[in-house]
Amino acid sequence: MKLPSVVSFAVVILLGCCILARAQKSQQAAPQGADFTGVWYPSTGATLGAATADNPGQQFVWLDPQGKPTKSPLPMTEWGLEKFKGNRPTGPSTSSIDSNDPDFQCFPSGVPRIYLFLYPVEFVHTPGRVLLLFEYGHNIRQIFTDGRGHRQDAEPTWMGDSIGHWEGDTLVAETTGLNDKTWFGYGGQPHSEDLRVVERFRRIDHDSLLIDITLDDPKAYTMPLHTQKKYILKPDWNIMEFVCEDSQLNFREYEKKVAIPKNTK
Amino acid sequence: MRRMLRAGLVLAVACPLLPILGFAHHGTAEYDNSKTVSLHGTVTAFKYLNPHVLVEFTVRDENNQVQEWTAESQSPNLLSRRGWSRSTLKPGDEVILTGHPVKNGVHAMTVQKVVFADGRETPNMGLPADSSK
Repeated sequence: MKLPSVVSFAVVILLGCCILARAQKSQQAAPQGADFTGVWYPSTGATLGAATADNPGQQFVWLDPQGKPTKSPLPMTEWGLEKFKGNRPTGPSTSSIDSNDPDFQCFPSGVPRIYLFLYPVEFVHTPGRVLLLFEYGHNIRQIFTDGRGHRQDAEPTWMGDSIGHWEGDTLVAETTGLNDKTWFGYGGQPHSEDLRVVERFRRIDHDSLLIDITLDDPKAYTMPLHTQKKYILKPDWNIMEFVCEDSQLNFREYEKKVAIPKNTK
Repeated sequence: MRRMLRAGLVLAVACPLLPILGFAHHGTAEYDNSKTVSLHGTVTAFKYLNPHVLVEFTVRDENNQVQEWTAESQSPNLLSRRGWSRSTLKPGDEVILTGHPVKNGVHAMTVQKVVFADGRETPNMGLPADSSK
């Protein structure tokens, strides 16, 4: 065997070992019992956040770092308040048709707002990833658990970049890289591109998945915010089609017809 | 009673219905949740489409004039999981629809319960039965 051939052979072996090591790393399975596979429906029942909500399925109750409910609007910085003023959520005098809610324009919901829609989500475990397939708007989230880091120098996206790891039976996911175009809820709460979302997913019993959510966005808020969301297992369900853009075809005329008169207080 | 219903019995009472949930795609600001109406109507179209199902129907007012109404419900996805389908209501069906009217006075409402005039019930229009677990 000539020298170049030996070197080539060694390089091939080395590369092969690297690929194998990478594959083995990415194929680490979730810890035993920590499998969220299945279709889950958002609960409107009491959790840390929902217990005091007027409309528990469709709004979060945000707690401050001491565990006390925050006042409305949320504790924003000057930058956050300025952005908040530009948002027009629906309300006593603002119809859907007059709102600039990004959801009504069929943009992806972002994180954490995607949890406020009363539609199911399917969890799929694959080697190195946990996939969340949301029925509402067909949003998809990928939580990478293969040991990679966050994307570097990437353009922010609607659903962000999620990196996860397992702590016992809890999947801990950190999401960054979110654009600043989504709201936290129907109330128009804004955020910046600095938003960092930490979610802790844990199956508190066979049929219940608890998602503990902490938001940290020092550009828009004066303190971290914390809430929880619970989901119920639906063993017989499948994700169905829900295409938001159908509203452009089916629904705009109706929304114009029922709009609140402009001078309504 | 039937004649009174046919004349479009409108009840304005304190809200006995559950809050409107599941109107995800757009808000509910257009509706007056402090009022509840029950209307006897004849279905003219059942639009089982996303994002929200619409029931179009006619009602005869106290002067026997025909009014055209529209009622908005949940999405077909949510209703299908409670047992509804696109053929649950058909043109010509005589129904009593109960829900909240719009604020601007046009003939439109939410619908949270539908009963056929002959007394047959339709499936529940709410969220999954165990959703508050």
